[in-house]
Amino acid sequence: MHSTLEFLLHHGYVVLLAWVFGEQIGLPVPSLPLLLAAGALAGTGHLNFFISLSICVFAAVSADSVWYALGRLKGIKVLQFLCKISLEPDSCVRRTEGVFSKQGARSLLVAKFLPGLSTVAPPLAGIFHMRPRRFLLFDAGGSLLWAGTFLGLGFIFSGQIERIAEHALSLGGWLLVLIVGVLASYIAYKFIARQRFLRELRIGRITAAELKEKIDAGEDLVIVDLRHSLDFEADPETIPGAFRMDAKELQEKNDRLPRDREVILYCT
Amino acid sequence: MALLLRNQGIRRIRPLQGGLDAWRDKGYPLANVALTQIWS
Repeated sequence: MHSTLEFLLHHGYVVLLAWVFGEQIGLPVPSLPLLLAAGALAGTGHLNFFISLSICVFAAVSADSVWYALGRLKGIKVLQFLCKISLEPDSCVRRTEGVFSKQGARSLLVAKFLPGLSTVAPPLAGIFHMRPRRFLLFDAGGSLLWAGTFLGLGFIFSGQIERIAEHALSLGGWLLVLIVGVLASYIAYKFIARQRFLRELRIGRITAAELKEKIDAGEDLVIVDLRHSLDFEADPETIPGAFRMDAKELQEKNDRLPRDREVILYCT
Repeated sequence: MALLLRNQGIRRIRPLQGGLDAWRDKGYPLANVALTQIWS
């Protein structure tokens, strides 16, 4: 354990750069504990606060620029891919697009504080062709705010964090077991909940071929396109005869849906 | 969403498996029109 600490102290900036870049590119490695630790190390004089901050901003903007470029090149498919690998894909697209459409470029300032939005906001900026200079300005601002906040908190509470770290280190190998156990339990819980949700939905799903047959047979259906308005800008095509309805609106005004007709819902 | 609406009493509701992508992959026709809301 001592050698690990020595390694962190000697290669702190490299670890910080790699870790923040890894998290921002989409790896499941939370940066928050590391930022707090780096702040605490800056508070005790082992690291330089401003160098740490600059490295974090550089790493975050570099990773975000990759997603931004992919968003510009590949369009909405990048967002769909990100949401597919998310543990909560059912709400992922709608939630992130909702925040982005309300706040625009300003959402990049707060994105890193919101789980799920952090990785998705840069490709969204690319998908909707935000100007590169504007993207870099707001993304750097958001990265500075995010890294500055947590490095700053670590710096201010360096004494307390040091005591917590000492207690944690006294647990030895059990600390690693505890961290891995909590993380694995969280992922397992989300996975099981999602499988249960999909199992319930699968019962009533309709395939594209079945829907086509019903349309061709002239059945009186209500087809509702639930995609967010931003999706239409990127991909304006829809199933013929479909009505567009915002998910929130559908939830609020569901009493106006016809009960005597079959209702087909779809999104991306 | 479908599950939520079903729990609120709309029984004849079915989500499209695979969404718009599944429809597109089958090569079925698509419309490129300004959509209207159901009650407008």
